[in-house]
Amino acid sequence: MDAVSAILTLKALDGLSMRADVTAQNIANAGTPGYRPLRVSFEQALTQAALQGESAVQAVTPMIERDSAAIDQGLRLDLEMATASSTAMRYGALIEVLSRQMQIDALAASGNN
Amino acid sequence: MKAMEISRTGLDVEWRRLEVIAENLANLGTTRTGTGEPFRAMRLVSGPKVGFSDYLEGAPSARDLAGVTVYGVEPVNVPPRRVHEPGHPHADADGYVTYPAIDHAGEMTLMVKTARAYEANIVAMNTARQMYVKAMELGKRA
Repeated sequence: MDAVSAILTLKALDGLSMRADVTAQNIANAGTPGYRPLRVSFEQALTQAALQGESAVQAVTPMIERDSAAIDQGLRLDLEMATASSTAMRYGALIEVLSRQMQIDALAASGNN
Repeated sequence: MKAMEISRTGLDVEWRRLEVIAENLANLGTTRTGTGEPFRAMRLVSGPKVGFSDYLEGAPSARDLAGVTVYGVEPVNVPPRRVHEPGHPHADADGYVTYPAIDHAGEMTLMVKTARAYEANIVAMNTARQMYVKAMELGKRA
């Protein structure tokens, strides 16, 4: 794995972890009247930074903002649950990528299986 | 990752909301409380665990993720129901008994919503747990 991919994976894990926190916050506030759910965005910034190189990727931090479209609608609990679940799946998949990479590195270092 | 701590605050708030609803329903037929006043239906008031003005005005950041908290338990602003029952021991001089004005259907609806929100917090907590477990697998096989 090249340096950019490694740091990209870690940055994506950071973003997904923050999204899990934010989704938990939204779900905890299911009973708050007039609550505007929070959203995390990092994918687009990460995609753009990946084209510019390692230091640009390093500088990316996940952004939290309030969902302005959801003012009248309030909190959709089902959609929040879907977000929580897909975030956990993507997080798991990225951990798997890192894990396999570490296996390959270990194999390369030891020279036998 | 503080998702589990946040979900914990959600569980706490919904549990206490359920207690307040149970209290209201249990007192449907209460005609007088210990202080002599009629029973009033109560509502739990909850909100995000940060200053409300902060929350509504400022740009959100990671420090706003502190979960939810109870801001108080307030009586519902509905006048009590007066029923003409001259034989009742708690009847006043005109023969009226004061019952609490509890919206039975409203309480039941809120109870179902509260139970759903509680369940949602448990699922969110389990999802966060799943992520922790997955992260701890990292490096195990390498």
